[in-house]
Amino acid sequence: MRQAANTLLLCVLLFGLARGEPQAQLTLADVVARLGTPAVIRGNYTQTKEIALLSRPLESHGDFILSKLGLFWRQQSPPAGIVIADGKRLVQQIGDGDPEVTDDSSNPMALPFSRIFLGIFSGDEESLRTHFEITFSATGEAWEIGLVPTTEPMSLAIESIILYGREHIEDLTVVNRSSDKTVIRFSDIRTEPEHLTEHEIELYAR
Amino acid sequence: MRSSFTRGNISLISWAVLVVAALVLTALMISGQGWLRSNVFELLPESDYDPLTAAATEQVDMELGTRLLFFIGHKDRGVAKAAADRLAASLLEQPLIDSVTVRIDESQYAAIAGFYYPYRRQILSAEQLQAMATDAAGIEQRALADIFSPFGGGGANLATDPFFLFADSLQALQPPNSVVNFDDGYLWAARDGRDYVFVMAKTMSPSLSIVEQEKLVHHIDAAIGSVRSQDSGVDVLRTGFSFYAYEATQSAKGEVSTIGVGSLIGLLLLVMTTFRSMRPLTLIAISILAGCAIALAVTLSVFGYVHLFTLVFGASLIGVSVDYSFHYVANDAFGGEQWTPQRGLRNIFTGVTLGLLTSILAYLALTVAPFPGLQQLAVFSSAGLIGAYLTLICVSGVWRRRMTLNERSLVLQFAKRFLSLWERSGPAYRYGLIGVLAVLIVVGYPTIDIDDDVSVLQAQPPELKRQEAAIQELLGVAQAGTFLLVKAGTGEELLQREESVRHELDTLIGSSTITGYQAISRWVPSEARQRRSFSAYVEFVKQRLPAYFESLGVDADAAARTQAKLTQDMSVLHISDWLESPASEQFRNLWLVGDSGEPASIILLYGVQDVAELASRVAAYPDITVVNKARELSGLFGQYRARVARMLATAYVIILLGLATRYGLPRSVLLLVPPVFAGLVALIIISALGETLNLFNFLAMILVLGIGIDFTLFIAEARHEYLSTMFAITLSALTTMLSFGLLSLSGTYAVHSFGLTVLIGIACAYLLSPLATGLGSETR
Repeated sequence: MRQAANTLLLCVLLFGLARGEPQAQLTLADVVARLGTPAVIRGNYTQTKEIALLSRPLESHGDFILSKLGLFWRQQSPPAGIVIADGKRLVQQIGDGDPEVTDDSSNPMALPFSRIFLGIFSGDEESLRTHFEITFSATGEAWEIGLVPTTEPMSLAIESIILYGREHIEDLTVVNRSSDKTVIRFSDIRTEPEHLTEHEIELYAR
Repeated sequence: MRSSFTRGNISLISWAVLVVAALVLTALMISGQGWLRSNVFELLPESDYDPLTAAATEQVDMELGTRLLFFIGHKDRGVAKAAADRLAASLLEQPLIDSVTVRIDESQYAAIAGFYYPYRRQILSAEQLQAMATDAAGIEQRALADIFSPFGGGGANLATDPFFLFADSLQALQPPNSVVNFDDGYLWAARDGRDYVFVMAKTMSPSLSIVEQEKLVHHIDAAIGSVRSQDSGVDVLRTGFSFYAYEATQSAKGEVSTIGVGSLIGLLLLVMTTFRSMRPLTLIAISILAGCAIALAVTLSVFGYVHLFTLVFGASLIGVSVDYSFHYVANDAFGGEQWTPQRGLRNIFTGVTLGLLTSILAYLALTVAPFPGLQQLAVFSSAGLIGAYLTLICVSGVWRRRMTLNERSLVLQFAKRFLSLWERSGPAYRYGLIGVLAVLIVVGYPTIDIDDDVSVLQAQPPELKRQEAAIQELLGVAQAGTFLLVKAGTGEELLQREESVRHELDTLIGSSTITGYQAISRWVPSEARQRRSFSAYVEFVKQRLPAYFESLGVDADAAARTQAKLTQDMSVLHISDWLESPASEQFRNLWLVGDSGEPASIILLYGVQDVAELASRVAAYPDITVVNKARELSGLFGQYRARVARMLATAYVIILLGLATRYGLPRSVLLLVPPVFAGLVALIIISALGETLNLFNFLAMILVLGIGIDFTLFIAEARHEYLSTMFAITLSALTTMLSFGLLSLSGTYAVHSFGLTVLIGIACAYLLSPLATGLGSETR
């Protein structure tokens, strides 16, 4: 269930960074309004996970595409894997293994997240507010959105989510109830070409 | 003369007192609540189950009897969901509805997960155990992917569930269902391009009174109507026992008035066209009223209630109870100058009394079957006939003026011609006819089709059937009261027995004999199974955890501590823990405890296609029985049908011996030919019409005997006044055929079968009754 929650968050964020160029007195409405605009976004990421049991954080990196086909998330190492998420299903492929499909209907708990996900797709601040308590602050170029889940089951798993950016979104932090922490740092964001290339469309087809 | 007048007065006064008492008693009883019942199951015999099976059956009946299922459909699932919410809200307003489920609460799911998490090492699924043995690397790889994936919060449970097996274990506890989907807690399924959202409600009780039934169904239909009117294009499917019960009550109510009013109108026409005066009608009306009052009073006193089914049959009593009055008025109309009421009564006394006794015997014979419904019917009808008989004996003397007959009446003309037809025919014709019928019976009887299905008792309106079928298709589950009862000495033994029979059930699912099942051992594995799961888990952790943790970078101390925790001894998940937890809420009623504390459980079966195949496959398992109430009742119907047939044969022999003391054996045989042949020919004709026969056709044979023998006895006792007797018999055959003919129009197959058999049987008995001319005792 957390997978789906985080899927949604990534989408929120990545849509947000499509419009870079924050204004001096940026408001939450400005940021949220951008979420609804469809675009193709590509980039690289580095993920750092701090888990209580581990003496050092786990680090991984890869690239991603966000488009109207959903999110394509490819982890290059370690270990290699691909996740494709849209509103209806989650496809997961480990290494060269067979893709595993999680359907909405076979996982009842994934559905609340899909609903939120779809709400946000349409750039609806109201929809965000029904599931999160939102804080917003901006200092010059930099802005930060804090999301605290207010509805189950997301609130059972996640304590808070913090998005930080300047010209673009720069990182996303998820703090779990178990006090584990995941930080994803984005780099090399590209919105050109405007549409998915044939190669990219093939990537989604799994 | 004076003394007889006084005697007449005394009997008239006693009759009046009796009738007034019956009326007062009836009025008192029906002013209370619950005197009229309509639940079909109350007609059926108590099952001779042992206490545990009885408790299990009651449990399942309770479950099925209180359940109301709805599907709300629309092209747009969002609209359907909103409509489902509105429907659920307005259903809850009705106090007869105990609960409504429209969404599965997420916190409910979390509570279940919370309950099972401490037992996660013991509930591994068969697939997981298999993977541990053959694909350990695959398990590790999936766990790693979960940790590294941006979507996986997997790391959270790294210390307590390092391979993240719990979610799949939990999922595997539930039976798979490929038809129903979830959306935001709503269950839905697609059909004909529309999405149907599921709503389930439960009524307070499976046996609602007639008033409650009406309140409930009217409320539900109003709620559905308002949901439909708010959104055009929304359609609602509904099914549940209450809807069938309601329809059955409505159709029975309609039938009581159709049969009652129909009989009365027929009677009125018959009397008006046959007699010149309305006086016979007065006598008949009084005797019907007195008969009904006494029948109701006696039935209510004996049983405390009247079943609607009894009233449907009882309405046909009108046609039978007027027979006595017909004999009296016919005797009057045909009597000579010296006729007086006393003399008329004397003339018909023997015939009418014998007729009453044989009818009562026939009705009481209905009670051989221990069906409460039939017992009540017998008491009701007997009391009604006695009431009508007493009315004739006590009241008829009041009218001292003579009846006059309409000479041109069709009934009279027919009786005359019919009688002369028989009188002109010689013995050759008579014996020839008997021979031909005998051949027909010998050839025809073995070809009749019999179907003992218990469903004949309940009307099956096609619209309700259609909705039920659609709902079962949407739900992918059809539950119809078939289940396995598992017994054992201890809870652990019970769970093990369930687990072993579940292998058999899984193969039956494979061969489509059933579509699925629900069992407690899904939710609480036996201790033996828990230990197998646990030791496989411990072995796996010991083998794989160290390298796996090292690759993640867990430091050695923490890894050792974690491994020690994961391999420390398990505490058994006991059935009692589960029963007390919220996790068992939906299924804890599958667990039963016998009188001396021995446990038992119900395995609910879905979509049973072949009960016989199921029973033969399960037979090999000790202490597991297939329980299917409908099938057993159908078996019971078959047994009683055979028993009624035997009993009829015995009754004929007894009646034959009784008649032989008065008429001698050869004549007695001839007296019995009309009712016996009439009954058998009726069965053959009905079968030839393409209908299957059931218990109720055979029960009707009892009435054909009881009424049919009246005809021959009246004729035999007619002392050569054949025309007056034939005339009376014609009238009574017509009224009997009218009222039972109306029963044959019933929407309930059992009532229809009964009515049709009596209709055809009485027609045959009437047509054959002149065989008795010249057989009277005085002609010896």
